[in-house]
Amino acid sequence: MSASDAELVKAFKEGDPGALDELISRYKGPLYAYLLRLARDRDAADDLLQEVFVKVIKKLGAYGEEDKFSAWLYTVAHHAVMDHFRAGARRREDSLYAADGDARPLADTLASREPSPEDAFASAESAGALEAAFARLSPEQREVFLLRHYSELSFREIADILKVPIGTVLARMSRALAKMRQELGEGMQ
Amino acid sequence: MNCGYKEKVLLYFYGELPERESGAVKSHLGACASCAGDLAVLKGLTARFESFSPEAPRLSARGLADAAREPGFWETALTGLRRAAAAGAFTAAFLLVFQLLGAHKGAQAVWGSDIDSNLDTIEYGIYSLEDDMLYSSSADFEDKYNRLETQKEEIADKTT
Repeated sequence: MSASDAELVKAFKEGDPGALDELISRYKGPLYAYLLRLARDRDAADDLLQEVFVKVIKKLGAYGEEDKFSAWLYTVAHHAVMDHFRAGARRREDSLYAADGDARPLADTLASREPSPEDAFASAESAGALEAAFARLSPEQREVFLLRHYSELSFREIADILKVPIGTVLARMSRALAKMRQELGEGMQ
Repeated sequence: MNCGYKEKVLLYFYGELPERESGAVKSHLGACASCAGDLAVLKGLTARFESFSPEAPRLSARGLADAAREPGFWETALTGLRRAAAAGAFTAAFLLVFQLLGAHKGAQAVWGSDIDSNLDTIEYGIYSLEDDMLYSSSADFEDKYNRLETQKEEIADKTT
């Protein structure tokens, strides 16, 4: 049975660097995906990933074993990304996927699509349109989806991270969905 | 359009809706195109997120721990302030000792000695020379030259 996060933190505090390696490998992947999708800049995401772990190590003294490590980690990550946006770091208007050529013009996608709700995004083409619509959301709207998916935290825990009521988190997500459906076409209404 | 189920659909999709409410949401999804559309977008986004697994940069626990030990901005600023305070205290102590030694020797400090007076004289001389060079004109030189010529002629007359 693998050690819990709290046990790994305790082991690292007691001088076991391997425990930190385990924590990093446990969270690095989803955390990096969250940072990259939010910042939409690979260099910025690389820096942010390192910054988040450095801050976590610095603040480990304040971490209590009763705290949920992932919630704590994503709280640090959320603040780091917000600082990044506030600092006015380079932000591209086009999404990571658009830059990679994965997204297609929205008009083309809509013209060739007759989706049913069940298979609305089954094709790569409509997936590109979905990515493009997601990329056009505000960072705050994107973040609630990304936090919910990559951190696997509950809406209540996400509300704690964002310091807003849970209703605000749900409303933010709901409005974002409506906006995306509007962009994707009337077939989604 | 808000059918009143929007938030419940979100909770249902992410598995946070109590089981007793799930049936009602499922029934609603069959009748509400807007909520069914939300669900389709959620499914599509989740599929995209799951297929996206970028390679994260390599991180070393030891390197991160070392970086965490490096001082931050405030620590650096405080260290700078401490050093400035130490330098100021040292200077004040040095001046105090210097002053006390001067008083002990009966005002034999440099600024009360002949050395200081002579330095003043030399400095004034340099200042005067510079002043002369700056403000003397060719007319002054011509006047001095003519007077010297006149003196020379007078001496020559006397000798003949």
